[in-house]
Amino acid sequence: MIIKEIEILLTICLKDALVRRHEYILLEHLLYQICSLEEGRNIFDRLGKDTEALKEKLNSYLNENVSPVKLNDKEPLTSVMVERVINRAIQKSIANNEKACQLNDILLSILEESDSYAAYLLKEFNLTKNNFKKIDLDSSVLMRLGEKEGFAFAENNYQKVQKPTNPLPHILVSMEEKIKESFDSLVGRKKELGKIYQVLAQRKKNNPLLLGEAGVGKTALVEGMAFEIHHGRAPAFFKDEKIYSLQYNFLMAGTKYRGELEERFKKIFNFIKAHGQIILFIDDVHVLLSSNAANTNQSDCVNLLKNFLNDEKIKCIATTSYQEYHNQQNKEASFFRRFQTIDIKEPSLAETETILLKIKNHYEKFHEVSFSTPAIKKIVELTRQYLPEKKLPDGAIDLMDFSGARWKIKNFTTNQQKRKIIDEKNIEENVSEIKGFPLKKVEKKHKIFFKDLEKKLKSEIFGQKEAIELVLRALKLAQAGLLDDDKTLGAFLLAGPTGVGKTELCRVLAREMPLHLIRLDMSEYMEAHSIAKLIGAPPGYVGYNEKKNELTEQVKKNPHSLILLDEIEKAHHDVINAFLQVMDYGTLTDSQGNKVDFKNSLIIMTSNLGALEYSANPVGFGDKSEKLGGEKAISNFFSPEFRNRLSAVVKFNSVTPKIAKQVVMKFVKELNALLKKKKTTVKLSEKALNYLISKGITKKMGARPLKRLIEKEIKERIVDELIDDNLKPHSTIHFDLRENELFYQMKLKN
Amino acid sequence: MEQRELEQDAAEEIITTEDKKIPNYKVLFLNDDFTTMDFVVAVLMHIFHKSPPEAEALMLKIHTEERAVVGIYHKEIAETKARQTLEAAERNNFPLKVVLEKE
Repeated sequence: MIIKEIEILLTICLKDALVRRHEYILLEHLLYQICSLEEGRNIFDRLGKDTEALKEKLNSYLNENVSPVKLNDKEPLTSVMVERVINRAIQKSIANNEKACQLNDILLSILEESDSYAAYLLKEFNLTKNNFKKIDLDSSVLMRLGEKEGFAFAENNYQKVQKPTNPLPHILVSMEEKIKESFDSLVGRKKELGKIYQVLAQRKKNNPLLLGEAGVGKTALVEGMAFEIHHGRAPAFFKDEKIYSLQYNFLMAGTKYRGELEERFKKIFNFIKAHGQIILFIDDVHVLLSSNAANTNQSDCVNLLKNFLNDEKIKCIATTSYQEYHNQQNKEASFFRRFQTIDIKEPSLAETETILLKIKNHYEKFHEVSFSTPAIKKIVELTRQYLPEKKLPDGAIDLMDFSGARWKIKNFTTNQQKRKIIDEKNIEENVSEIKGFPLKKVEKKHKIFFKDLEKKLKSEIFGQKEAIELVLRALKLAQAGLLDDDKTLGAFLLAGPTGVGKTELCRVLAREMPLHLIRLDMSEYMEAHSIAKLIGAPPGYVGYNEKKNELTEQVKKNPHSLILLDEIEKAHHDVINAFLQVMDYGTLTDSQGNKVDFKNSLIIMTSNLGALEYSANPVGFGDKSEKLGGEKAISNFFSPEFRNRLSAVVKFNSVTPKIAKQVVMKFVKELNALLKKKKTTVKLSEKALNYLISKGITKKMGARPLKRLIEKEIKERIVDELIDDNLKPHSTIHFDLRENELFYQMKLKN
Repeated sequence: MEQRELEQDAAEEIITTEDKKIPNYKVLFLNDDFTTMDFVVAVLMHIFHKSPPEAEALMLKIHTEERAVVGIYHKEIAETKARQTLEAAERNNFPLKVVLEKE
């Protein structure tokens, strides 16, 4: 019989009820589905009735009068009335000896149901039993139902009336609401925005992936896009689109059981699909991918997302950084394949300035200060110069915020009218505070600064007048801007015997300039592979991804550095050759392929080469040891291309008795500085002084043994006196020589 | 015979066009001494979607007043809910009685 076709009809009704989350299959569902069938529409057309109007009425009745319930996996029940209608129709067709139960039998049967809206509606449309009886239908209208594949589901019409609601509003956050709360404004970026729109409008792979370093404004770009769409400034094609941001951490939070996460994913995707005009935004998409690697249980996450992205109807914007992209690309190639990458470059200094000028009013209002235009310019410049690890515009905005906050803490007044203007000077102070050295010294390297520097150096390093002057001349050249742009501040090789103050010069220079001192003991770089300590381990080796304290990392953090390569001749040749590039172009490429800028760094190498020649007494007359031997040793050891790239080879003199005296005096001065707390001083007699010089300073060893000697002969001896409580304040300890040994006497000051 | 049917139809048409409102139906539970209170509460919660306190109060009302309206619906829903209740009662061997009343 025809039972099969009626069953199909009831299944469609069931699905309809399911979609609407209704508890029962009602007569109205049945009538609605009959109207949606071609055959059903035929009947009403022949009777001259408007099927669409009928459907519309039924739809609104179902939406308004029947409240949706939680079905909890239960199927909607067929209501008593529907059962009765169907049974009656079948019985009637049997009684009338019809070949099949036809649609008009069912419609007739509906009319017989008193007190039901379906029957009431049919009557309202002036349909009576006679209408249906008279109609002469093809013999098997219902028979053809089974052959059909798709039926008109209520789903489509239903959604037109009402957009689905967000099932998980805390996980899927509307950007529209976010920008309403706080959005500073998007400056420039027209080109990138255009690219994003273009990709989104494509048929396939309509998912843009924004690639850029942290802080260049990827998220701000998407916020700006939401802002444009919200205010109707976006291309008209996007006017009804809504951007929803996926909060990944909330997605994971509270998923106790296996499958709960997937369920949430499904809910979100179903919502987006059903809504049809949502752009999903996943910020820092690598977080989602790396959590996958850590916990294989959640691998479904990425795969779910992949399937989801396959759907052309779904648009998704994701962001990530270059590094994460490269790290994950191989592992998740099939994931990234579904995206089109758009590079988001760091804005230029001028662009950053406009950005800051545009948004400064938000910060001014918050901190109750105002920023002058030159101050903004200074902020951008100094961020680039001194905080290069922070990208623009984020770093500059941070500095602006920092300056505002600092001012607020220092000079907070309730007086509204006394609004302070933050100028260039304040900004400089703030950068000094962040970096921990006085910026003023760096910024104003004029004549006086160099004269002071020279004086300072000469007062601490004795007998190396020429060497100091040579180094200072090169620094002045750099300051005057007469050096090539793509070179370091200078590369010096300080050659000379041990203990004459080569390392000391670097220490003092770094302190006074000021520069960040990076000291590398090149005796630790004796093997060819130790270059890994400079630029990081090569791919495939242990430690590739760990950023340790490599030279490149340090310079990246502190571009204004003095790199001291102590005892360069002890390093392996390959390691030395790595510095060729640095000296020539001012850059070094680390193992990850990042170029590190050395242009603001000063490279100083020290070497004992030629020291042997210095100590060997030349045969013949005259004192030739100072010049010839050392030069030869250097040219023998270093290749010509290396020597060519040095700014200068600075030779340090060995220690003469005159220098030696100065050195001893310096050490005593240092000692007295320490003793100042105890209110005691140490004094040396002429004899004692000479004793220290002769024992502590040799041509071979330089002044280094002196320190040890003073430790042993002076400090260790007086230590007992010092910890003795009986030590009288303002006393002097006199050292003298007796029988070739030092002794001391305590004297009270008058 | 056909004539009579036509007349019937005509009469029906007049009635329905006059009375445009669809009537509501009251679903009433009748008290008996065998159906447990728990069962009545469960039925009220699951079939009639009452909250636990509501269901409790209604059950007590049936108990003290012998009968109580547990819901008002359109006919088709009222009928179906009544049948669901009776089926559930039968499955659990309770003689619970449900009555529909047109408003």
